[in-house]
Amino acid sequence: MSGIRTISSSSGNVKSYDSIMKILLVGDSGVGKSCLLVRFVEDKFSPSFITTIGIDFKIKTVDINGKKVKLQLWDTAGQERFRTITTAYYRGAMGIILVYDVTDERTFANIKQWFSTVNQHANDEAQLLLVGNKSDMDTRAVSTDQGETLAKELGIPFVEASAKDDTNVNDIFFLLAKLIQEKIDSEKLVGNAGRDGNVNVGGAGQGSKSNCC
Amino acid sequence: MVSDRYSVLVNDHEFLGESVLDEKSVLYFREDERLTLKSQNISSAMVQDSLDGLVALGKSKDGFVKHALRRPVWLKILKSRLSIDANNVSESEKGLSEFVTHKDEHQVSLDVKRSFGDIKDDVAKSFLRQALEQTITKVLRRFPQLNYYQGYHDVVAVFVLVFMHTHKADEEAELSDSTSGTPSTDGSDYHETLSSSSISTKLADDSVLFIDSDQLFESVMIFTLLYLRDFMMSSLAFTIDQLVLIPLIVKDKDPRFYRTFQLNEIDPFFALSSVLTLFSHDLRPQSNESLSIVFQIFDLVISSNSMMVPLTVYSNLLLAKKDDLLTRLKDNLDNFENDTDLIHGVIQQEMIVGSSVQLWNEVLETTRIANSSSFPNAKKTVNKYSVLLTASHVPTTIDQALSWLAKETRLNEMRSSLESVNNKAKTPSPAISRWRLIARSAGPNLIKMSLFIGVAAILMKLYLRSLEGHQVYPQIALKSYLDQLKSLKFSGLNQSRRIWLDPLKNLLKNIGRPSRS
Repeated sequence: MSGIRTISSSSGNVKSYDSIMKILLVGDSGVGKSCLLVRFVEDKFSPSFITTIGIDFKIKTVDINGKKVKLQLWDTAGQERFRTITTAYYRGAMGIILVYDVTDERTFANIKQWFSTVNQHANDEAQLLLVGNKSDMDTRAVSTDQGETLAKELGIPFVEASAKDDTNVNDIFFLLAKLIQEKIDSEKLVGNAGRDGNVNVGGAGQGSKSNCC
Repeated sequence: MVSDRYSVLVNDHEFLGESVLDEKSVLYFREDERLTLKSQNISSAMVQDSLDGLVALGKSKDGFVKHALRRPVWLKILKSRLSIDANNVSESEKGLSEFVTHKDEHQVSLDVKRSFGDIKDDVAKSFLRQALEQTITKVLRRFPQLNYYQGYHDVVAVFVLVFMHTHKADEEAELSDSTSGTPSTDGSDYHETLSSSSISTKLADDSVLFIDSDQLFESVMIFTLLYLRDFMMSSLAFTIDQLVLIPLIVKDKDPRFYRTFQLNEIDPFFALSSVLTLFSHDLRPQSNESLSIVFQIFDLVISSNSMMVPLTVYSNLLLAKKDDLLTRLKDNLDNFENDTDLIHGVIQQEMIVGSSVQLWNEVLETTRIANSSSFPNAKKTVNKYSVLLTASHVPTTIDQALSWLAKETRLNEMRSSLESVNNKAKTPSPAISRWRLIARSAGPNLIKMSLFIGVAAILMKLYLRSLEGHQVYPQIALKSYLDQLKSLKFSGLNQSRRIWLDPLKNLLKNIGRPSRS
């Protein structure tokens, strides 16, 4: 398995960061996962952003408590048929953002489904976060209270955001990164992010996901 | 005379209108001459009704050159591949099917809303979106057995752009006078008449956009039934079967690269969006010039009648960027925690971000020269009715195409139920389905061979035992043999190839003896 890794011996590049975090965005099609990402990474918004097919990723380095953290952001397709593929990338994710659209009740109702998919495929230690996107819209169908109640029920933190007018977008990623960092510090999760490529997959994880908030 | 204002936007010959005093103008001039000559050839092949001629031109450099030519040529070639029997579907049936909503229409409208984002003019944009949604919906309602996938809208969007044309208000009279099928004097344009099925919209500058929606629908329908069936099953299984050919093609050409990138270990999901959309998803955000690459890829698929094209193009692109990929791989070793992420990330970044138009042209040229319409390994990997294999039975009828679709759908359902059985590890599954799964798992020939030897050995042993007189009734022997077969634990087989030896050895030792239980 170390075929790829062995060629590194000659490269010897200096690390430009202190740690790396793999973060995944999931949720129904059209809730704005890619828009949140593009707003965060490139600080722009396009109302007709293109569809994600399969899986896509971006990288952004941020500063958390004086440490340079490289965020590896994986964006997934919302359509059900891609789930067999996207779940293959849950492996090793330290943070997973579950996104719904506050103007579309159906996407909110499906969060529970996403939650159980995540439980099935992600590491037990993964930090989850619930995000209600499009909070700028006046055609809201899911109230902030409903969002908070669901988050409590699932035992995960909650943020309402808008990729369009840039409300709380950075907060999503910084909050998640901080929570992950705290977990790493307290649970010594570091060993899991080893370099050998054989990350332990907590496949059958059913236990409670989070003890924060 | 039809002007191609929007195809100028999306074609790579925009520079022709620019200053001829440019130092590169001589080069442009040659390019111009070459394209004019090719356009003339395409036009005369159309007039002479020469399908062979058109196909050969589509397979050569620059494909069908521009949309004014693509429109009639695509339609002509596609119609020659699949005859649409007008009597096949009765008018009343047609009418009915168009009112029954398809289950995926919500997803379609979500994706249509995100299409044509790079078209600046709002009126044009909403016109194109409307044409896109209408066409997809019509295909899905006509063939409800098809499943829509995200990316199908990108493919249909390419057809919408090709079938759209513009003309200025003052050209209207001339347009309606022109006759279909007549090459113009300079040979660079191909005149078309407007039919009753045209939809149109007027832009702010008084120019008008036209789409012949019947022609658009017909082309998309044939293209879908002949080339996209594998992608439109209820699961992605047959799509993944196609993707798996990419590593195999690469392995044939460059085993070392194949090994370095562990293409034997890592699922080629990185190629998913490129293959599902014939590159129309990934190339769109780039310049107009690169967009024309997409049209040439479609030219090549249509003229060579082969969905091997996207797979070959992808493989050739990987190989063309081998050195860059390797560098990027080295630079990113510490950025990814597992190899799946590493390879996916590296390939996705490098393939899309760093591909110049020149490189793309080279890759297309390599693909054209190789004439890679078939790949021997395809038979071992894809299902019997896959678009990769049925292409050799084209031209065909719509009935035949629908029968392929039905058979594929059945195979896909069987596959899905087998996989769900396999996933539920705790519930014991029939030994037979496990055997099938193992045989179908596209493992290396070694496994298949050992399976064969194993089965042969069992049969041989069985035969010998019955000769020895241990069993009076061969049926009982067979039954006990099956019982033992069923009791074997095959669950470990997919994890390690070595586990094979032990159960077989045990089986052979006891085979033909009365079951102890």
